[in-house]
Amino acid sequence: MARGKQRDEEFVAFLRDAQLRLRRTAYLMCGDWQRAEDVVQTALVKLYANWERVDRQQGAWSYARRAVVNTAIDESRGPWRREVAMEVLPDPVVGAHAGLDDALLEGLTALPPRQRAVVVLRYIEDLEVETVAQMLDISTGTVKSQAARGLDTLRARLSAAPSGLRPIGTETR
Amino acid sequence: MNESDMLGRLRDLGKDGPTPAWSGRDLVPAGRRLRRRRAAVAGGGVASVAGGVLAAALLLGSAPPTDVVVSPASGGGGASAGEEPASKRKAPRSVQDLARDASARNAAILQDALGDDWEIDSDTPAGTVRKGSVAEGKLPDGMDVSVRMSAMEATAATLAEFCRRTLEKGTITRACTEHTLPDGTVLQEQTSYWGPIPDRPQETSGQGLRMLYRQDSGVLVFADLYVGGPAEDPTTQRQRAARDWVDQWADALGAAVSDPDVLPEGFVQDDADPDRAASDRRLVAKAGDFCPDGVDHEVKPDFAWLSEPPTEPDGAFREWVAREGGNDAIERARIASKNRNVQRYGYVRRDKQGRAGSIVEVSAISNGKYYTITTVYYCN
Repeated sequence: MARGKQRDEEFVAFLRDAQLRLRRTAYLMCGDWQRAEDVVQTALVKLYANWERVDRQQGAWSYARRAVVNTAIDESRGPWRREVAMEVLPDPVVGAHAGLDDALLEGLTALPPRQRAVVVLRYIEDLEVETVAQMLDISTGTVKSQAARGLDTLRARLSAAPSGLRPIGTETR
Repeated sequence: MNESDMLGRLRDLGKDGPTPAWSGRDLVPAGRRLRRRRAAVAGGGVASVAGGVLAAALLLGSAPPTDVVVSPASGGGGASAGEEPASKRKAPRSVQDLARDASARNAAILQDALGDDWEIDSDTPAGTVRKGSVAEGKLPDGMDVSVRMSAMEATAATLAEFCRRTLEKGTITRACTEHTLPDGTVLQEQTSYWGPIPDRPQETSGQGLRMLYRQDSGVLVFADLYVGGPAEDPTTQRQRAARDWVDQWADALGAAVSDPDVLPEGFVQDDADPDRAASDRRLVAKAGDFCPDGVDHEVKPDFAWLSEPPTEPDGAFREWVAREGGNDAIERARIASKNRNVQRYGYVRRDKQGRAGSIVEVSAISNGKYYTITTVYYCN
């Protein structure tokens, strides 16, 4: 059906631009590229199913990002997501900067899901407090307090990280 | 590290990921499947909680936010629990078959009633006016059309709830009036308008018509027809033309909803039931058919959350408070169930592992918040 074909083309075209951005948001929410892929795909299948009612000019990106964040939060609630059994230990960190980023990412993913979402949306996606509040269905005051707490936690984790994980030339108080 | 450095590093996180091995095209088949499953759901859910809110959502092709399928009472699925000994009952048909039967049958009824100027999906009682048809030629330029019929078991109170006048987020839904078909059948007609109102700009506006009919068996059937386009004042000539265009289909829609062969696709539990446990027992009693013979239900001890944020007609997101957490949301739902805006729905579905199960969905709008929770039952 022509209508269906047009929908498919619009959806695919939208994803050409949005896929990597959405996946990055998911990655920052869950700290794992494979889970991020799962989260994004789950969210995007829903987006496809709702495509007609999403305003493609303005709303598709915002709908998709919200769906990704909420899917990631939901995923993090499941008990099967809390622990990951691995047969092989991950590769050791190489390079000071990579170490710092890993520590940051580890700190980020250790935050409670909603607090993590606030930090990601507010400081990485650079969204306004009001927008974050609307996306997560919380008050602007909660956004501010969660953002501040999240940053405090991250700062504390970085301070406690082994000195070997700090990049050369940064403060080491 | 100072805060500025930390924020700078945060912003750089995750910029260099592995190249994805999939594209949007790979997701289309799964999206289509989800879309089809949703289309098979009764139009309950969002629609019946706030009929007016559904207006442009339907125009834009929405479906209730569930991943489910069919009513256990949708016919062809055997008698209600207790009517016959389990040993004499036929093996239950798959819920997918039941869903397809009800939806396809209702789709054919809607197509017949509206005529060849309409293009109704073969497996879903929803569609639009056919491109190039005479009817389409009479539409104001730039306006889109959507129609959908829904059917579910419901109480008289539910019909009354549907028929209330409401004003919600830019959608004005008038109270029902009686409409008599040429054959003397009396049903309810409800009109609506959505568009910019003071302090609430919207991108679209349009006119809606809902015809409602409650069968003697208790099945509530309603059909919604919406015509809309870019936002404009409701008094414009275009909007008046849209109103006239919509209203001309009242008899045809009425014939569809009052057709005795329409099958229910879901059922609404007693709206006034304040006792969740009692209500859930009613669901189990009603949904008792889908488990194989001699197999009882098991209530899953937790809740499955609908994980999708539905949208408002104007593109804004509904509030989705029930997602906050288990006990909190259950308590909220209990509170909400004491007010008249709550609806409970039962459906049967299969989960990803193919297990049959039934769910009860509680939807409510309370203090401007929208809640939906779902309880899952599985066959043992």
